[in-house]
Amino acid sequence: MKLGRDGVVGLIGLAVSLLLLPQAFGLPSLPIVPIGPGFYPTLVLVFMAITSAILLLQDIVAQRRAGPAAVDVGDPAPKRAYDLVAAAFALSAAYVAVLPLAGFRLATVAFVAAFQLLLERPATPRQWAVLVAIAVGTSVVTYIIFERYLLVLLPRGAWTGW
Amino acid sequence: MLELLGGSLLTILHWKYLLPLFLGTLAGVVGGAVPGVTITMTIIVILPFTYGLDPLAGLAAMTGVYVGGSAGGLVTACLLGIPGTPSAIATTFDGFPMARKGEPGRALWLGVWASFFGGLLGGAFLILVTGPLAAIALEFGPWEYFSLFVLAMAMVAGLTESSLVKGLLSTAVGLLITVIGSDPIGNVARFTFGSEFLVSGFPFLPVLIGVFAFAQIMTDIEKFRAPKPMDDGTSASQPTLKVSHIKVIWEILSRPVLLLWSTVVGIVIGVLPAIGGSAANMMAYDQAKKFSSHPEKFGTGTPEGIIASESSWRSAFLVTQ
Repeated sequence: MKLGRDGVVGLIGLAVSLLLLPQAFGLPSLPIVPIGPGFYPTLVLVFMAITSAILLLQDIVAQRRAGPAAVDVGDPAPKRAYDLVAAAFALSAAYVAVLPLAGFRLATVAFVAAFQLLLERPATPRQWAVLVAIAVGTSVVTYIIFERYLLVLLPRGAWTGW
Repeated sequence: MLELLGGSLLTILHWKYLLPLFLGTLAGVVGGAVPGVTITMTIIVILPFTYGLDPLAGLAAMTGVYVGGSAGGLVTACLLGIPGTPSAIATTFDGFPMARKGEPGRALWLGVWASFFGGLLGGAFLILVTGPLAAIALEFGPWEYFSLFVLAMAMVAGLTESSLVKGLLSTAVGLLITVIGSDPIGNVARFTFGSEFLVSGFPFLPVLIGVFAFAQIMTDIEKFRAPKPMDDGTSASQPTLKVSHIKVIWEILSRPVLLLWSTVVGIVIGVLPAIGGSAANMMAYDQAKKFSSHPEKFGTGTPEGIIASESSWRSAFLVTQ
């Protein structure tokens, strides 16, 4: 069975809500208040599960009505770079994971450089120099503004201490 | 009361109060325009500079920072699609599309002037009707707050364009994000999965940046390989910051009902405790869309969306103060 974008979103919403519902039921009730901390999340998750299920069903019905012929029709929409989106998500997730280990300054340089490489690979030495300058500059300027001027401490790395 | 008002006006018009007010506003606008820098952060940075001033001049500077900081959110909302402050969320819906159509100056100045007129009207209302409205607001209890919650849910129906189910699912996701962290009554950790980072929940501003900035970046990446629409080099499609202020002001003043109604929505929301500008701009936007003769244009860069959002939050902001 083929699912459209809405169907995939509905499926993810349904999975998340069903995964979290047992946790919400398991939250302890408090002796001082009649409604425990699990009441509101349960309500929200049930609401989310219902809306996700409806979205999923709507998409299934729409896909069936459209039939296989609709798939064969030439796609007039511009080509979407989903591979780039997936890679950007993966890169951002990696940045979040590496941040507490390598520290803000190093992780940011690597992240900004990698993101630029992902979008467009430099062809000339000058473009490489620009890429490195942007990566280092972003980290340095952010560090100076936030840590030196605004006195907001940026994460240090557990591995590097930097 | 009028004597006091006149006396205060004459005092604040002195250069030694106007100068710190101006500089404070400038600093506030810069702070508010930087995504991730909060008004509180800007106030902390500017506060030491006021130690040498007399109390009224310091107060003028801090008021400038606070007001300017809130207004600064409009700049990134229109130009980058990232609301610098929560009160600029609804401005993003039409300000950013207008800027993308090549009219960033019009979007910005519509917001600035709408905010100015909203502030003027809000100030007038504030002087005249705050007392009676505050008396009503003080009567607000759990029933009324629950009704407001239901009203906010109903707004989803008004703001959702194509699919109500998608709007409701988005609401559910938003509500789910707010329950992550410690429960406010019993301090029980909810959906933290043992992570200390999640115990305090998600602050509003990072969520805002994630929802608007990150989503915008991903949308742009998605279209990265698509042919660029503006390759013809015609001057009409070139973005410009230059605008005729008279035209922009006329655009606002030619919609007096919208301006007045959005200001009233802002004032009503502003007098309610613990709500404020972020709700006011959304509610006014919703109202503007409902009463508009062409609601389908909302979200595509229509001036009504910017006027409603900016005038309402400014009046709400004044009343909240």
